[in-house]
Formats: sequence, structure tokens, C-alpha cells
Amino acid sequence: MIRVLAMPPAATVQDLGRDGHWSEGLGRAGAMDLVSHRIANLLLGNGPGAATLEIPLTPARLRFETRRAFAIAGAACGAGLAGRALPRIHAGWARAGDELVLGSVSCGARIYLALPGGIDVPEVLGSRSTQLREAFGGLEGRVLVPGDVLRPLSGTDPDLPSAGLSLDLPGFRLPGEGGVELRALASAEHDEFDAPSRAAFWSEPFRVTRQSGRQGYRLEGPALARVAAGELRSHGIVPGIVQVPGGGQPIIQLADSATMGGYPKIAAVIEPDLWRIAQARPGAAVRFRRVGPGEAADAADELETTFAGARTALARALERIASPA
Amino acid sequence: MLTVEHLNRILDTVIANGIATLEVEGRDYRLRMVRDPAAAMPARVPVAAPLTGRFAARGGDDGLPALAVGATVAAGEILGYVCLGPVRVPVPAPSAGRIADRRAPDGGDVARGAALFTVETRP
Repeated sequence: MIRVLAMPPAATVQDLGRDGHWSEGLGRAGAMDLVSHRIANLLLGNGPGAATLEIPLTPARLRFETRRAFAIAGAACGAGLAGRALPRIHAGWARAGDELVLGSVSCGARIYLALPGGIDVPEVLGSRSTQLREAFGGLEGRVLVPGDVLRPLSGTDPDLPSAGLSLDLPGFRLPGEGGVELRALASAEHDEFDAPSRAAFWSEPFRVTRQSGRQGYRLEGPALARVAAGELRSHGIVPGIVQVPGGGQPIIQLADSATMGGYPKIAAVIEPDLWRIAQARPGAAVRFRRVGPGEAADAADELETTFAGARTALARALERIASPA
Repeated sequence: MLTVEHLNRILDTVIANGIATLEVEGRDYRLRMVRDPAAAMPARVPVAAPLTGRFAARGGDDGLPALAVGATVAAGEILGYVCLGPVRVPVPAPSAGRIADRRAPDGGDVARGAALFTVETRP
């Protein structure tokens, strides 16, 4: 088991999300960066749906009470185990008494901690994700606090070399200084925005503001003006939808998005790119690139192909390490 | 001016060739190195590739600072990786010391057992 020694009040247990309750007004929740969440699980041999701890703020400190395997993936945060620096993507061993320290974030925004079999919290409505607004799921429906204890669901550890393992997926590296490019589909009210606004939306950079979190990211950039007058009726919205309220500054709805909204929608960021915005920090530049449904579907396939390839490569690597000749 | 890098290179040469006394004079400096015959020699520990694969240097997307020759490392610290496709197997420092040299180029193929680094440990 692992004891939380220090943790800023924003870390939650998450999995792939709680699908299928949209019509009852219950959003998806789930990991903001599903790519890092899945990488951490993959390295431990967990299925993609195993629950991880999503840590959006550091510094954080956790102590392993017993020798166990664990994995981290996501933001570069000067992570260290018992004083030894770890790469931002790492699976390996912690001895009893070892402390895992996550320091200041130098690139990216969220870190995922995976344990063998996933973090043991009760499954509620088909998911272990924390539903913060409704206060259930995850660990007692709340953010973690010092003193909390995390237990791995599995009693056994995966085969890992003593020095651990890391992973490098070239298509899924953290965005650097150049900012984030998000592929997006035009949404229902796209054509109601005037031509200069549409042109600006698809070409100009927007900045991530401090009003950004699991519910959504507020962006700052060229003002987007809608020609059509009048309010919309409330309608269903999903993570990835880009709304434009009266002020003309866009909001991207994310994992804890409401299920209903009333603002005009200019675009929808494709699901395989949502992890990129989840790793963008306030001040980061965001650009939107228009794609069609075909390219969106291809991107989803590409993500699955990458993970299938990584899974095969991992199995082969573990074989080679076991018998290196 | 002599840089730390220059000094380290001179030191490596002195150690590798068993030189007892060395005097170097430049325009604005004078350096004299004398080996104490009673002092124990630093040990040079080779770091071998744990398996056959592609070498990847530390630094970049892994979030760790790049590792320069001459840098001080702790025992167990990751020096680089041997990669099998996207999977990276870390190569840890066998002991605390200083990186005396790096043999493998970033992205180059390495065979199991091939020397990747030399770590110089001081007694």
C-alpha cells in the first residue's frame, strides 16, 4: 500500500470514464490525459481501464509501505524515488519505505500514477472515476489529502527489470515551446460566426488562461463574433466541444464537462487530441486545425494501432531482457 | 582560461597514461599536476549495454537533463537507454562517480555487452 504524505488538493482517482449516463445528466469524468493514463497502465501490464491517480499539481510525496511495482507517466516534474531521478515515463520497483517525490513541473501539466491491477477503489456505475461535482466514485468521491492510503487491486507484481522500463512514443511526446495543435471538426453553429472570426479561429493562436481545469479550458485570443442573433435552446454537449460565450472567447469542455449547455459551438476537438490540451499549462499557445470526420476516425485508429504496437513491443522487450542472448 | 572541461580532459589523459607530473603553461595560466604515489588510483568502471538494441541518450522528452561527459552521477542514476522499438531499458550508473567518456552515439545500434560509458570512481 501507498501512503499520501503530501498532495495539493486536486489529485483524483480516474479511469477511462463513466460512459452511458449522459441522458441522466451524469458526465463522463475519467482521466484528462487518456494517453498518459494508458501508458502508465500498459507498462504494468494493466488493461487500459485500470484506475490511476491523476495529479495536476505538485509538489507531491507518497510513501510505499511495502515493495511494489508502480508506473508514472505524463508531465516532466523532476520525479524521484528514494532520491533517484526518474524519467517522466517510468515503470519500476519501489522498496518498502521508499518515497516517491514529484517536484515542480517543467513540461506538461498532469502526472498519472499506476499500480498493479489498478488503484483499488469501488466500482460505481461501471467506473472507478471520481465524479467531483456529484461527489462519488474514486476515493470517497473527493480529491486526495495527506494521510490517504492507495492500494493496488492486484496482489502480484508484473515482471519488470530491476532498473525499470520507460517508453517513447514519437507521436505522443509532450508539446514543446511551439504550443499545441488540436485537430477539430466544425460544430453546429460554426457557419453562424462571421468570416473573419472563422478565419481567425482556424489560424490564430489562442492562449490557455488560468480559468482552466477538469471541467474545461478557457482560452484567450481573437474575439469570435456570431452573426446570428438570439439565444440557443439548451442542448447536449460533450468533452471536446468548443463553445463561444457572449464575450467571444472560446471554452473547450473537458472530462468533467456538464452534459448540457447553451452557448454557440464553433468546433469540437477530436477525442485523440484531448490529451494534448490536458497537458497544456496556462499561457500555452493553442491552435486549431480543421479536419473532417474521416481524419478524426483515422486519428482514433492510429492511437489504437500505436498502443497495440507498444503492447507487442513491451512483451518482446521483456522476453529479450529475460534471456538477453 | 582553462575550462572545467579542459581540466577534465587533461586529468583523463594524465590518469590514462600513468603520468606522474605534468606542467602546462598557457598565456594566462600555469598548471602543475603531481600524482601522490601513495594515493589510490581512481577506478574506471565500464558501463555495458544490458541487451542488444538502439542507444538513446538521456535528456529531451524523458524529462531528465542531458548528460555531459565530465558530469557527476550517483549510483543507480539513469545514464541513457537501450531501446527495443518504443520500449526503453534504462542503463543505470554502476557506482557514483564522474562520466569519463561516452562511447555510443545517440540513436546508434549497440550490441549486448558493448561499452556505453566509463564511470570514473574516486576512492
